[in-house]
Amino acid sequence: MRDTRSQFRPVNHPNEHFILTTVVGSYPKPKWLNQARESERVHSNKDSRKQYNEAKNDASTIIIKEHEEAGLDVVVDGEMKRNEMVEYFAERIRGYEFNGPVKVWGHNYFDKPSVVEKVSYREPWLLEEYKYNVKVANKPIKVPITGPYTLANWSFNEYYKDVKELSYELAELVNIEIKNLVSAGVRYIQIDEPALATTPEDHKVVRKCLEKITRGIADNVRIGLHVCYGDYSRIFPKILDFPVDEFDVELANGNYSQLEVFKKVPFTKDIGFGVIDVHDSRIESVEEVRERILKGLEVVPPDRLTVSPDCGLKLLSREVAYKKMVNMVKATRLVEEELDHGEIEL
Amino acid sequence: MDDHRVMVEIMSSSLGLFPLPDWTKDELSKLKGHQREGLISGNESSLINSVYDSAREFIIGEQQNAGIDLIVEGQLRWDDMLAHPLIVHESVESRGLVRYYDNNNFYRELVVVGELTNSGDVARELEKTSKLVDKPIAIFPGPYTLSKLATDEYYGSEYSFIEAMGEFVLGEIQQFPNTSYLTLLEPSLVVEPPSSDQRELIVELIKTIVSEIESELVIQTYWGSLDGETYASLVELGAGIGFDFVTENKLNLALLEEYGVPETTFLGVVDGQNTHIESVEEIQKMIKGILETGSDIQNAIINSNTGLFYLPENRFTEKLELLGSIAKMEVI
Repeated sequence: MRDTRSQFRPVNHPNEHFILTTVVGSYPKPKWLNQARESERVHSNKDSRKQYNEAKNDASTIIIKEHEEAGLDVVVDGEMKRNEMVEYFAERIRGYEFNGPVKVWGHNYFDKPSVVEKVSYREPWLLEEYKYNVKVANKPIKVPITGPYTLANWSFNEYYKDVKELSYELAELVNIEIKNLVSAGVRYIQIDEPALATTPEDHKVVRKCLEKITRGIADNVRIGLHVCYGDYSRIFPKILDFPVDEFDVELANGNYSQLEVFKKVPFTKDIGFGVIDVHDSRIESVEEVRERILKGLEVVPPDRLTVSPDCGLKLLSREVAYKKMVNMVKATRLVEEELDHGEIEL
Repeated sequence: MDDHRVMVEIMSSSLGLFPLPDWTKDELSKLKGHQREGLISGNESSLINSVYDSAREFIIGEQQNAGIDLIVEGQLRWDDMLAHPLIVHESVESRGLVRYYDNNNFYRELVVVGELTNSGDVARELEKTSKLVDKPIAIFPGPYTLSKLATDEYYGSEYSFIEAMGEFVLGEIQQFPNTSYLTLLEPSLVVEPPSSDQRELIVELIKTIVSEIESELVIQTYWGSLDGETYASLVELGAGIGFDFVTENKLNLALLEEYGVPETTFLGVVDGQNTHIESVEEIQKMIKGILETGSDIQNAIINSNTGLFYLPENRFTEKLELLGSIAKMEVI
């Protein structure tokens, strides 16, 4: 198996063992960023636009710094410049239109877009975001992208025969985007597919999408796949054949009830192991997180374990999100130390 | 030309579960918040109730403007879609969020922890509706679907849970004002078909409901088709059937062909889950195909195949207009 991980090992890493720590992507937005967005929505003039852009950059800088301070090895900007995980991309793809909000649950809505003609690549999606982030970050940057299957599933499809056909077309666009990002220097991409593992046969579609997405991408680029809220038994071990380096899963929220699924056959990929519950504002102690990391070592050896929260942290308060990350990193470094001293039996 | 088919009267309706009008979305979010705790519990302030009252009136006007023949209440208060009548019940606890069938919608997980007595919550909505429109269609979830959406921590077995839901549904609908039809939404009957024991029980429960109520009962299915045996039993009871011809045209036609037509047929011919607005011609063609197969159909009511809350408001209105306009045309 190719090694895409060691490039993210910090030069001054304190331990011999290295367990990669990162986060999934989204992070609570500062209130002033939402205020600037609201002001842009209401006024929509040169001033409000300028202020909103400034606010977005400031927010990205602050969140990257916050991630670095928490000690993460690979950071993101908390998706400060993205409004929502489907809308953001649909706004930048030709072939989509918006008709208004639809219900997700209770009084939570999203502007579910409609695909009304052939989709095509109009403009870069994340290039500006990356270029800005890499300038302000001292740590390596990961770029999360919503996957084509989720983009297709969470849109109205007025044009294509079915979700499958739309997913494949979108996968070609994701491939273009990733090539652009890689040219700009990105070495860690995470494809977010929360719609995977919700219907029985979807793994076949996602597999083919990933083949399209990763076509022509250099070997040193690390590709992760993030899946949450699904029934993992529907997709494991099938996903071990997917052309990705890392499979990132949500486990803490379900109290590791799905852990056994991953032990059925040797887990031959890296696992992004969810150790922080993002739906619970209680801050897990270092010891508690340590115990969870040890569960990860039941599935893969340390050099294939990535430690991260279950999912994006955006539903938590910033203070809680930060404290959770700090304890996650502390616990990881503790486990590394114990591994160095031979105190953990593998 | 077959003269018989020209005689078929086609009326229009919908199966409810409407999207909130955009102008109420912000207002209600402000009053109720965005979290689970703020959602409908049955004890809303008069301010919240007044927003829903205005919204109901608005949505009834929308149906009338679109030329819909059989008006529904719209279920705008149903934050949890079909699970609503249980969530407002004192013997039901709400816990996390769970996925609503195989789609990107969620509702509060319902756990039944005590005896399900009757609350009259939906009857009160219908009373208000009856003041605005003569004989609306009453919409309520069916007993099997309710049993599938909820978790039981009181009745002990799946069988007795379904039975309890049957009694609960009957108790609730007995409080309804006079309605034209009473539609029980039963998607779970096709999505997760019952075992043969359960099927017998469900048919028995529906038989009781048919005999106890004055309105004509319709079992509305969607996301597939009923199995032949369940279908035949329901038709024999005299229950009307609602079909989803958008998701499953072939098997639903096969039911009409093989087991005959029900007393009343609701034809789900307009897609409630896609913003694409069908052409009048394609819908007419679909209806024609159905009436050719079910040549004994006397009166047909066209509707959307599912609830319409999946749609943004502009498309929702257009779908209503489409239904209203088609029902006024000669199909053949």
